[in-house]
Parts: sequence; structure tokens; C-alpha cells
Amino acid sequence: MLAGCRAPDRRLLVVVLVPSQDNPFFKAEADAAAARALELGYRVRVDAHNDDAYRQDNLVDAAIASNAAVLILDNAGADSSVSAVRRAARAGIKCFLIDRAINVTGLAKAQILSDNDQGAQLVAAEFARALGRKGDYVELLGRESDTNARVRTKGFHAVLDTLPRMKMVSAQSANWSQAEAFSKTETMLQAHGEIFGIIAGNDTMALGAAAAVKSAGLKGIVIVGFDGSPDAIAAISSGELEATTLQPAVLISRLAMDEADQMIKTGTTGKPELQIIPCELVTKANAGAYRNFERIQ
Amino acid sequence: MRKIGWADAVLLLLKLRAVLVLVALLILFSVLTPNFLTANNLSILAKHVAISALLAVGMTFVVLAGGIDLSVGSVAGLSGMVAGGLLTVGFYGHASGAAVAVLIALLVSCLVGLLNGVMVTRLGVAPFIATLGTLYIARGAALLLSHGAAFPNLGGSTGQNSGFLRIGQSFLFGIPSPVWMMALIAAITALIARRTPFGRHVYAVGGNERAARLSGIQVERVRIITYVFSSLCAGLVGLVIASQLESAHPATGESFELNAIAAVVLGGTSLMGGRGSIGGSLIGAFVIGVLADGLVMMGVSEFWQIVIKGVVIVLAVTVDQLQLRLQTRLMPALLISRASLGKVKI
Amino acid sequence: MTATPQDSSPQIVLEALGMTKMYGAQIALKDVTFRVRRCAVNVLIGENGAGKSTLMRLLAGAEQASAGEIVMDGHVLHLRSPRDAAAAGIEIVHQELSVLDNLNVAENIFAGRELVHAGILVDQVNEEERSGRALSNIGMPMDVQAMQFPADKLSLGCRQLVELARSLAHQAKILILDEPTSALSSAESSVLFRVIEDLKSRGVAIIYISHRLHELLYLGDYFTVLRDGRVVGEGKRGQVDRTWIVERMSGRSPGAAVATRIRLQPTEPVLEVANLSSHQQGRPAVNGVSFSIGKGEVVGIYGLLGSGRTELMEALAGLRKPETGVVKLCGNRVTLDNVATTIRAGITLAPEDRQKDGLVPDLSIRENISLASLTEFSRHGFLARGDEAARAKESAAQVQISAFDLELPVTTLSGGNQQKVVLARCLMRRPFVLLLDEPTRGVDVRAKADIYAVLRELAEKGLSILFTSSEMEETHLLADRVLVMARGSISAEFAAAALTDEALFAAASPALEAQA
Repeated sequence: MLAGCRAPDRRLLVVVLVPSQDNPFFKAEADAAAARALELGYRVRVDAHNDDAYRQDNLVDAAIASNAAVLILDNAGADSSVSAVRRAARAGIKCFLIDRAINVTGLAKAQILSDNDQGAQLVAAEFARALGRKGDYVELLGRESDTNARVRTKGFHAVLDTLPRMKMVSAQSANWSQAEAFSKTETMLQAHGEIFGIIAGNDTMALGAAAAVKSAGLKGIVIVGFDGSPDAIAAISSGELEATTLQPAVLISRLAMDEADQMIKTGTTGKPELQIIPCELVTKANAGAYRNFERIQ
Repeated sequence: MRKIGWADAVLLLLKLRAVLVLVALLILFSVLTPNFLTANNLSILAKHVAISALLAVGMTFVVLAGGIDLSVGSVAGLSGMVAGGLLTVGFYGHASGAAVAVLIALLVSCLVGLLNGVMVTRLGVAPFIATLGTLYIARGAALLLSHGAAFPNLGGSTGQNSGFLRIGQSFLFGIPSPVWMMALIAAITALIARRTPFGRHVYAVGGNERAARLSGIQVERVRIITYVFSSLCAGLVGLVIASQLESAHPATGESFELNAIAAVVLGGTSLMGGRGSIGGSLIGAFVIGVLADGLVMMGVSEFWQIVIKGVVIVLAVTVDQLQLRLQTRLMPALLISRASLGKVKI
Repeated sequence: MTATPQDSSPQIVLEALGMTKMYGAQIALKDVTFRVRRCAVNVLIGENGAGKSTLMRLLAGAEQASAGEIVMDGHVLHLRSPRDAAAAGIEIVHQELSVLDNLNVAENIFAGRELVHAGILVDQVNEEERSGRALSNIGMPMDVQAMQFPADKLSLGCRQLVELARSLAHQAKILILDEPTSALSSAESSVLFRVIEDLKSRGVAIIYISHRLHELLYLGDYFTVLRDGRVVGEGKRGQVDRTWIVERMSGRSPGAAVATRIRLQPTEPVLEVANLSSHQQGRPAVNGVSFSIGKGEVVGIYGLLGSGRTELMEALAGLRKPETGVVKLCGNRVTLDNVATTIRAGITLAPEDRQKDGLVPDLSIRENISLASLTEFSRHGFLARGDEAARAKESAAQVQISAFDLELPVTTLSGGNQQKVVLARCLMRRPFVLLLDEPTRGVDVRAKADIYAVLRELAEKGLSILFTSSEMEETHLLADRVLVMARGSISAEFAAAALTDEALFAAASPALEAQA
């Protein structure tokens, strides 16, 4: 610290903005980007915008003011984030969008996304397989104003709606929350007699549904989630959840940071702007191979 | 005489409006959804209501004494996280038992309430601001405890904490434990509100603080106790949720305070203080809970659920004002009717 | 102020004819006719509750009369709001100042009638200029800097003058001054009197209400005396003197004996107060007051508004902590830290303002009566409701509350009965010393008589009573001994037998008396 006081830190600044730091997914994403940036010899600042476009605006302004070289952003909305990214790009910051895209191209140096649609179809297919392609099921949606919630439910239905003997009897939003998924599942289980499966837009809601099923004393209900969070993978190992799809968050963050480094050193990333990284299905069979949003074996 | 009977009847109907709305909702949902009126569903419904009812009961005392407590949702989150942390991580690697974790979580909750009370009474901070501050402080503290992560698997790998899971998951005579808690706490507090000097003091402080002070009531102490009690209820709610989910999330309880305030207002308690009842808040919590669960069972979209909830709250408060005005207007008629019933001048 | 009248006999600018005002069943004004003359100070006199304030509220449009009409310059006025009255040129300066503390002087003067540019923006420059003119017109020139201060930085006297300037800036034809000098120092008062003279010469009709006789005699041109909601005397300058006024106000001749019972001989002191001082906003409100009260003695404190009587009561009740002074009850020192302590020691206060300080409107009559004594009915932490109801009923009977049912809201009672509820609450604690601040303010005549009777009876049973009053008659009827307060100190002490209205008045305003 003292050395730092005498000679100012001349390393370039990388600002990492993610939706929140109290969610394991975003935390893993932020941690991975920060760790790789430090490895590559940058200074790092990490902040959360809480899915609030206004707060994101302020944080981007702060990044501009502190003369950041790179912005790694998991943004607060495909449309509402455009102006902030444009402002950062004009100020000469190299913007790398991760996890979520914006609706305009040419502003960011790269938009590296996990394939939510492919991931949703992957887990929906596994859900159908586990149910024997038949039976009533319910769906727990994420916050309905969120792009990813819409992409995922579309992916689910691209698979499930082609199967004539599978019927969705109810769909409710649980706003990504475990407590809300718990009480809404309890209620839906009451409203509809025979439910064989629950498909959830993220792992947190899937775990809430699992707790509700357990509390109702029911067995054999197939529950799948999305994200590949450590808690969900543990629940898959113990049999409470059937499957989830892992978004390669750590991989994406590292890719973004590597490309940023390349951009600064050579002036180009050498890759197209839009890069889609496929998701991976996690079931009991391969659960041991994943930890904290990355494949370790 | 006929007109007087009419006045009495109108006032009685208005007074019982929350009950009437509740009955109407129950009938409506029973007709519209086949499985609504089953014992099993009603028990689950009551379990869901218990969460907001416990918060509303605590909030009622605060509001009756002329305050407001915005921190209850955050306190619920903090309480769950404290218990979760103690059960899974503990102090210096020694995980605590269920009883110790519960006691410490409730103690921490009470401390937040004490902070609220002291800020409001001794430092003269407006209740809205003081509890808005602790809303953030408690939420931030909950996030700090785990650096944002959840504490999963609270039952313990060997089931050593099954006692903790019983808080939210056990049954007595087929009724879930949170419902028993709600019933017990509501009954005790209703008794305190109506039948003890402290309860009367709460009403007096909210109705006219200066008159209460001149009557020798220790206004500050009464206020502080209401805030501590509200936080205690919130802490209990946090434990119930953590126990039901078998995991503690730092984000638990976000915007719960609004549900609790809505229940209190629906129950006819005046936000100006001094008027209202525990029973009213309980019914208010049931109205909100039945509405939420019924709409979910009908498959109504989340967005419409939010709109409908707002409409019900606004209507309830409007009718509340109507009742007050009507009561003032009909009072002469009521006085005459009382007199004619033989309750003569003393 | 369109024309300056030249004729020597001032004409009538406004007539209030046959004004009657009822509050529920209570008559506040009955068939009152009141004439206001231009270029003159029209004095309205009466004790508290005589109906002066009610009449002024009707003229200022704050309330509507139950019967009667107001005629101005030959037209009948329909005053539905203070705005209507202001439009007709009637302005009122209230006894309770309505200066907005957070706004500056110019903002205050134009509050609610802001001058605007282009229909939206406040024209600050113009407002400040006109305010400055209005202030120099009343002999209080103020530089632009000082006008930027928020009003709470000004002295009470200055604020009074700001309020006056507010009325004048709006071209008042009739200016109502309700107890304008009650909060003013004598220097500030003489400024006000000069302003009044000046306004008079410019054609404004002034309605002046005050309790201070010397002021009225000094300023007044026409006099109207109200008692119990009726006009009981009218006179012109020159025909009116002190005796004339006092006789009509109190309804008896000043020399007449009023003592109706044998006064007590001095007994052993129950309450002893030595050198009590208390400050309010940096100014001494109570200044080194010492006195004592014997067992069963009724002591009255007579003082005008702002004399420190209410502050003295509040200090004794533990509501405000005194800076200096020792208070002993039955020989033991009492700390005046908070109300709970003084009540436990045996001193209880029935406050002046029932609505603000006395009653809890949401509670029933019973609950209001028992509020201070709840621990008495506590059995294992719960209220024994039978006991409570019985004691409340007993106390209600003791002070003769007339109510259909003690379970009704306390707000259903009349003013007099509400005051009895407060009294019952105090008595239920069985105090040694009962403090009453204006015990019959706003109470009707019958309830007054009831309250006097109850208090006398209590005193005979040994209760010591200290009350404040600004009514001569009340002081006469109730007190064994009278202390007069003025400017925070006790200025005189009378035994009941030696008491005259004249002497009371003189002692209550000594500083001004010398000047006038």
C-alpha cells in the first residue's frame, strides 16, 4: 500500500459491472473477469447495478470519469443500456458485453453470450425425456420484464409444445426468487391435482419448487432449472432436481478479458462482435464434473 | 326508530367490510377454482398468510402508536441469514445448535428494533426516515454476512439441525406450525392491545401524544417497545422462511414491509395512529393472501395480480374514510338510539 | 383606501346585523349587531368565551353565521372563505400568529397571493419592493438583506408587524387586530400604536380586540362590550371609562362583594415553590417565582396571555424542565424531570388546550378518564375492566359529566363535559395538588358553575388547587388568594376579600400602565 502511495498505480483500469453480487451466477462471472484482469496486469473495479438502468448509467459515468480502459458489462436491459454503452464507447473505453446482449451492434467490441435459447431447449428435452414425453407440468417464469426470462420460456416451449401428450396446466412468475417460487408452487400443487413436472426459468426458483414439493410430501416430481448454480448441482447429485443447464459464465468472462487484452495490445480482437457460447446440460450422471459455473474436468 | 336501525346497520356493515370482502373472495375463488375449498389448500393458504400476518401484527402496534416500520422485510432477511450463518458456518468453525441460532437471530432482530425506537424517540428522527435507514442497514448486513451468497442446506448434512427445520415445517393437529405461531401471537397481542395498561398506552400515544404525556405515560418507552416488538415479529418471519426453504437468502423479505402496511391499512388501522386493531390487520393479511393465492390458482398473470392488489388497497382506504364521515354524521341518531335502549344519563 | 374622507363624523363602513352563531346546541353569538366606522378604532371587549373571536371569524370569512347578514358599503356580503373577505378588503391579524416560519418576509407577505410573471414565475423583485414599502409604511423599514431571513429568525414583535404589513400590502379597508400586543414588549407596542394612528388617518377602519383596558381606553374611538354572546354595552370615546367597561364585562359593579363563602384560614403549606425560572426560546418565560399553597387552599394566578402563567403550570407539571428553583410537596423535594414523576408525587395538571393536550379523540369517555390511573386496575398485567368501569363511573359522577354512555367516543361530548373528563382523569389519581390551566376556557355557563362547585367541594376535602385564569369573574369566584403574573414574575398578591377588578388589571400589566 505504501509503495502505491509513492508511485501511482500506472496499470490500466478495468471496470466490471454486473447485475448483483448477491447472486452466485453474477458473482462467479464478476470474480472470473476480475481474476483474469489481475493476471493480465490490470487494475480492477467491480460494481453491481441491481438491474437498474439508471444506476448503471451512473456507474458508467463513474468509469468514464476514472478513465477506465475496459468496461466488462452484464447490462441492465437490451434497450435501456444502449445509451450508456454508446457514451462509454465515445469516451474511448473498450466495451465488452457479457451474458446479455444489447439491441444495437457496432458500439461494443464484443458481445459474448451464452446461448439461452439452445440451453433452454437442451434442458427442456431432458425434462421431456425424464417424464417419458407425457404428463401435466407447470412452469415457473422469471421476472417477466427480463429478456432472458422470455428467451428461456420460448426455448422451453419450442421443445415441449411439439409433444402432444405433455400439457402445461399453469405458468406463474416467481420473479427469480426462491421464497416466492416456494409459495407459488405450493398453491399450484393445490390447484392442479396431478402434476408430474416443474420447469423453472432459473435454479433458484427450481430449488424453491423442490422445497415446496418436499413440504407437500410428494415424490417423483421431475424438476429442472437453468444456470448451473453450485446449489442446484448439489441438489442434482442428491436427486432433488433432475437437471439444469450450465451457462459457462466463467468461460465467457475469461474470453471477454482475453479479447480485451488482445484489443489493447494489437488493436483487434480477431473475433466477430457477436459470439454465442453454447450451454451444457448437467444431470446426475455428469454433476461431478462441474463446479461454480465452469467445467473442471 | 326504523331510521335509527338503518343507521346502525350501515355502520356495522362498514365496520365489518374487511370480513365481508374476505368472505366474498373465498366464495368467488371456491366457485372459480375447483380445488380452492379443500382442507389441504386452506392449510397451505393459511401458511402463506402467516408470513404477512406476523409482520402485520407487529406493524400494527407501531402504527397504532403513530409510527411506521419500513425495516421489517430487511430484518426478516437479516434474521434468516444470522441463523443460517450460525447453523452452517458458526463462530470460528464451530457451528451452533438450532436453539442458539434462533435465539441469537431474534436477539439481533430486537436490536434493530431498539435502534429504530431510540432513533425515533431520543434523537427525534422521523419514523419513516429512521426505519428507511435501518431497512438499508439490515439488508446490507445480511449481504455482508455471506458476501452475497446464500447459506444452503440448513438441515445439516447429518440432519443435526432438524429442530430448526421444525420451526416452519412441522404440524400440530394437521395445522402447519407457522399458522399456530400466527394464531398464538395474534391472540396474545390482541389481548395486550385491548386488556392491558400497555395496550391502552399505545392507543393513547398514537391518538394524542401530548395528552398521553400529561397523563404520566412514558411515551418514549411505549414507542421503543412497539418497534422492538415489530422487529421481533420480523425476525420470526425470517426464521420461518429460512426453515421452510432449508436455506437462507440475503434477499429474502424484499418489499415485505409494503405487504404488511397494506394488511394493516386494509384492516382499518389509521396511519395517523390511535385507531385500529390487531384483528383488523389479521383479516387484512388474509384478504391479501387469499387474493394472491386465488389469482395464482386461477392462472392470472403476475401483472394483473399486482394491479388488482393495488385496486383493493385503494378501495379499502376510501371506504375507511367514508365510514369515518358517515359515523360522524350518524352519531346523533346513534346517541338517541342508545338512550332509547335504556342506557340513560348518569 | 380610494378616497380620504373629509367629513368629521366618520361613516359606517360595515354593519354586522343580527349575527347568531350556534355550535351544535351551544350558542356562541346571539343576535349581535356590530358597526364598524371608518377612520376609527372600533374596540371590541369581552371576557374569554364572550363571543369576540367568533364574531371576528364570521367577519373574516373563516366561518359562516347561523343567522344574520353583513352589509358593507350598502351591499350584502357573502363571505364563504377568508379569500372572499380579503377580496372585500377585510384583513385579520390573528392572536396566534400565522407567520410561516420557514419563509422570508416578502414570501410571507405574499403567501397565497404571490405576484407572478407570465402566469407562472414568482415575481420576486416586485414582491420584495412592495413588501419593503408596506414595512416602511408601518414604521418598520427593513433592509433587503434582513428581508431574506426566514421569519423564525425575527423577534415576536417583528413577526407581528410582518403580519400587519401583510394585511396592509393588500389594501385593507377593515383591519381586525386580535390581541395584537399580547406577545409584544412595551417598546414594540408603542410602535404598533403609532402605526394604528397612522392607518386611522388614512381611512382604514380598525377593529381592535384586547384584554388590556388601558390600551383600549388609549386607542379606542367606539366601544362595544360582549358578554355571553350578546352585546351588553356600546359607547363612544369620552363617554367610556374604566368602570363602565369593567361593569359591563363582568356584569356587576366593581365594588360589589363577591365573596360567597367563608374563606379558609391559612393552613400548613402543601406545595412550596422557591425561585422557579424557566426559559422559552432564550427569553425568560418564568422568572424567579416563589409562592406556597396551603392544604385545601384554592390559589388563582391571574395573568394575561404571554405573562408566563402557562409556562409556570407546565414547569410544575414536569412538562418543561426549569432552569432554577426548588419545589417541595409536603416538605419533600420534588424533581420536575418528567410528568410521570410529578404525577406519582401527587401533582397533576389539567391543560389549557383540551383538544391539543387533554383528550385522546379515538378513545372512549371511560378510557380517557382512566388513562392516567391504569396501573391501579392492573391485575397480573391485565386490566380489570369491571374495576375500571366502576371507578370511571364514580369519577364521572363526581365531576357531574352528563353523558349517555361512557363507552361513546369522547368527541361526542360538549366542551364543558370534555373539560370535566380531563378533570376526572386528574382526580382519579387522587393528587395532593391539582393544577388547572384556564379551567373553563370555552365552557358554557352551566358547566362552568358545575366545575366551580366541584372544585370548591374538593378543596373543602383538603385538595390544594392552583389555577390560572384570564377572567376576573372566575378569579373572584374560585380563589381564596390571587397571585398576579406579568412578564414572568409575580407582580402582586391579593387575599380574596381585598380583591378588586381594578387592582387586578393594574397589576397584570404594570409596565404599560405606567406608560399609558
